[in-house]
Amino acid sequence: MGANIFDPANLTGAIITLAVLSFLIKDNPVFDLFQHGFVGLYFAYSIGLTYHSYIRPTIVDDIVKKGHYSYVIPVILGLLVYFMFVPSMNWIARYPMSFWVGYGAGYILAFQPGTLMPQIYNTFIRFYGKATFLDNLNAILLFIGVITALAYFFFTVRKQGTAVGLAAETGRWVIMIALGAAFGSTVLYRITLFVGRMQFLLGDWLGLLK
Amino acid sequence: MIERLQSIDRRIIYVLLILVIALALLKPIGLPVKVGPMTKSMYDAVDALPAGSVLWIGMDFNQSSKAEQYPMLSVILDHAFRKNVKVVSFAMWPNGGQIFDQLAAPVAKKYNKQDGVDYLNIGYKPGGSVALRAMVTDINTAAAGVDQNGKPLASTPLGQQVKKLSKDYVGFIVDIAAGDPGTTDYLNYVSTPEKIPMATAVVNVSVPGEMPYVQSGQYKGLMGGLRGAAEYEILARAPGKAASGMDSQSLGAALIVLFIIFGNVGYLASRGKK
Repeated sequence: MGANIFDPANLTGAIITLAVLSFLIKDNPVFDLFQHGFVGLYFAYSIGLTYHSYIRPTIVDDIVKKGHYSYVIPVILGLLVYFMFVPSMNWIARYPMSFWVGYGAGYILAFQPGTLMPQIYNTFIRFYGKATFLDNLNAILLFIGVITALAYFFFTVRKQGTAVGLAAETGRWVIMIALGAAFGSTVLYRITLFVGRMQFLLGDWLGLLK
Repeated sequence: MIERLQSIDRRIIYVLLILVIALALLKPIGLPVKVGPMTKSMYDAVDALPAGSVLWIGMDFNQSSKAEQYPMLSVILDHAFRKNVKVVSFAMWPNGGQIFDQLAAPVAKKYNKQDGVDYLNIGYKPGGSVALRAMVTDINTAAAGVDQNGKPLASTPLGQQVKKLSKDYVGFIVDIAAGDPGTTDYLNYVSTPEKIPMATAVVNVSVPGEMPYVQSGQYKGLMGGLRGAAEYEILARAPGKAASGMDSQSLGAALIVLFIIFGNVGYLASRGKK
């Protein structure tokens, strides 16, 4: 791979990457400059994206040009949210919110059980069938893990010296192991992001990688 | 003395990490990468698609997960085009459509595939899962009639062929996702109700959360992080940036584990003194 040190895109990317990484030494004005620049750029991009993705296609194209006047109703419903900034009339903002919550709940309830049921079923079904010793061991551990993790969240029953207490204590360990796995994955993800930046700096920018 | 291990200057750790990762990239040592069962089953599912069938790729990530997910998309496209499988992509994330265009071009050129004929980039359409669900009814309406670059879908052969995101038109779904909206939306609103088999390609941090769906058979496979992408590259015999980054990732992770051990040894030593 040849070096593209002065290619504008590569040079800009390299300067920004190094400026952001300079935070590893300590907080400094160069890092602050690019951090604020990023926030500003992202904010401006979000406004442009919202306008071009939602506002213009609905108001300009659909309502004004195509004459779909029924779309005015959701637009008005959306605008009612801004009544939350008027203290004496903020109750009006609850109407669009209640509509969205109702719509969202109905939408999710229509589809989610189909996805969740196999999860519940799978927790139990693997106890028998054509499986190796390790498969069965895995199934037993999964079953114990699910039941004990759920037991940990039984806050309304007496736990001290009871079977529920023992299950809850086991569940606490299961949850800690799960969180440990999640933390490990997060660390690995961050390393990968850094590897990606190094591939860019050493390869795309400096041309040192084959 | 040993207790000082728990207060090593973080800048020393950073410098060592930079050195280890840079050296592993410059002088790869070729640590072995064993292909895992989740990546293998995903590869097998894509490999089993007959020529001419349609693979739907969800583009639900952006540049922030470039290191892991650009190689994922490249290798899946390479595999699909080599098998003469047609590809339709749709993005619930704003930059997904642009990224697909950027990465599909070189792979399409390699296999002499044409935009609109062999692959179709519907691109980003706002609305998240609602837009996705609308694709099940009618892609043309849900996409406002145009692809990522404003070209009418009806003017392309593949746009005319694939009318709905349903089992009649789509053989398999691979969602490349870095968060929400993403894979669970495909599972809830498309794969489960429409009975279209699917697999997912997610960032490393999402792997523990998605694994139960592989074990239950709801996903036909999972490509997890850079490691998953490298495994797929090995299976597809298309080595790319994922395989070349594995040495760096493995050695970087080993270094961090080493410092975690140092920290714990230091902590135990200081506790023993008290």
